[in-house]
Amino acid sequence: MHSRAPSIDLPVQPARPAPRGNRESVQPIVGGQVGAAITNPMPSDPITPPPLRVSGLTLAYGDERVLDDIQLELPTSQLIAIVGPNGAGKSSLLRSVLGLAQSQGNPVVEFFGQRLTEVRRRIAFMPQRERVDWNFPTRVVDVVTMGLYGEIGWLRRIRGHHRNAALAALERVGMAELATRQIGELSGGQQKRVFLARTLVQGADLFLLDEPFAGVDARSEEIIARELQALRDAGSTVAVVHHDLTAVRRSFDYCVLLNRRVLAAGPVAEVLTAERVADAYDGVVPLALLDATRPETID
Amino acid sequence: MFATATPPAPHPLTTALDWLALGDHNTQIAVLGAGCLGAATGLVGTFLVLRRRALMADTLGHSTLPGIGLAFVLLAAIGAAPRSQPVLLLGAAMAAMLAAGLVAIMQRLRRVREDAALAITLGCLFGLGLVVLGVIQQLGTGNATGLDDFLDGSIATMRVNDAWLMAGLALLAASATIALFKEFTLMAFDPEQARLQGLPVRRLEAVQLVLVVLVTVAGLRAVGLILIIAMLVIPAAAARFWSNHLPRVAAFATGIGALSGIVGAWISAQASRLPAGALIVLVASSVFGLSLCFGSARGIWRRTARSSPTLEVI
Repeated sequence: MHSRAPSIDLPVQPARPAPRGNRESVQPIVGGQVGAAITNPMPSDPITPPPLRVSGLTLAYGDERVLDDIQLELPTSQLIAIVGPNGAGKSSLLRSVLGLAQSQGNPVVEFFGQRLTEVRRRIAFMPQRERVDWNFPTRVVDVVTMGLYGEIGWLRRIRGHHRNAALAALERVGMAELATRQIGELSGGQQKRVFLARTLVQGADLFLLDEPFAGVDARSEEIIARELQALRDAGSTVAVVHHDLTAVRRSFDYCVLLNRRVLAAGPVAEVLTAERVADAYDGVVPLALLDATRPETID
Repeated sequence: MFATATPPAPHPLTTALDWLALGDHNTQIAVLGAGCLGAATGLVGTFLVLRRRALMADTLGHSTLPGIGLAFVLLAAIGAAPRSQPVLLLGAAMAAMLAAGLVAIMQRLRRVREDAALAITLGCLFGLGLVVLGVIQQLGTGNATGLDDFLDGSIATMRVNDAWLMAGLALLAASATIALFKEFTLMAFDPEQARLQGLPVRRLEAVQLVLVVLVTVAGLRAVGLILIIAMLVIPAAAARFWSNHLPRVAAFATGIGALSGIVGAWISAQASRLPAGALIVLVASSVFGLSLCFGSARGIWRRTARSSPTLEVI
């Protein structure tokens, strides 16, 4: 602790003991009235509705509120990071907007201005850890093709061009050579890339990915990051739950700071200030995260 | 080699059965029907095993007994032929659906775990069935001995119409499984993804359950309700050793099931004292044993010893 002090910039230091009650004042909720709020600095075109708009979303497990009255609007064609401490409800946020976790009350959840059921094809989701049977008799290419099953439709067969689309997606994530491997024969990073390929093949406009970088090797990380940027460049909106604030700073456009509530949402540089991060992480910010925030706090 | 045993075309197969010295038309059809049944149990069972719901088949199988008994009593009461196969099987199917409903309710209440719910339902309905059989025996309503065939199966006493009914129900279940193969695959592998792609997962699960009931009921006469679970599980489990590709696994399971049905039924037709269900299941078990040892994809002694895949360091 003490040995670290000299290397820390002044603006960071006072943020650490920030009183909990202080949090409210820093909170620039979208649509809220808070002082220095960075309220939706990239307002979406009023004609095209945002890829995701959430209002009044609350999720509780038993008595514990995991998400508390979430207000959020994601901008179009951006690479968006959703960050926050463990237990902040990042996964729960994605899962509840997709109807995979049951939220309380009647929240507004709109994708492109419509209900989820009307725009399923435009949304692709990659869960944190696939809860699948890794011994399942299925090959890598089959898993990716599964991303197309909804689109192929009832009573229709899987055709050559579906397989080719799957192979092309595998090519993008550098897994084409392993296309005929049984899915359980891959490493963790390779499995992530296969499930990313299954997401890619869906050709969605909004990609929601839960911790695609958790526990992957360096090569997989590089490939996944490259593909996410390619999606953004092609006009898709990509929202990613992320742990590594350094990486978020380096390559993301927009950031949602979450700790049960949306503490801030806006361009990365404006959201990931030392104070906001310290506040969101309850004052307990790992050194690496502080390092990541420091350069920008100077100006 | 297994695939050639798949039933559909009746003409060449009947000729083949002639060649096997099954002169009796009754027996021919019964053996053929058992082949169809085996194929259907193999195919439907593949998804049951992949979804780890094999015990569901045991509960459904045993739960058919009170349905059979009550249908018998009803037929006797109205003075109809008490062993009218379609009516008995309808009773069996209704009892099985009741069992599925009870399990679903218990799960919905979240007070009992699934395995316990299955065991409770099995015990409750099978017990009820045994009591109904006992009552029938005491009342002496005609000849109730035919009902024993539903417990452990019989080929020798099977009539042609029974065999056609069995084959028809089996082929219906098999066709439905083939039609929904894609959806069942996604649902078995990743139900969450199935839901996100807009598949009606709940309804598909119900359809799958109905298909299991269909083959269970179809197999009551030839295999019997005690061992029908084995025909749903063993061919599917054996097939898994031969491939890592689901369509191929399903084809193998179909073939192994059909082969077991035909060979077991044929032996049973020769030795009518032996229970047909047990013979069919024992043939399937032998294939399972061989697959476990020599299966080319996951067998213990794989002939093509593939080098283990090089894993990246995480």
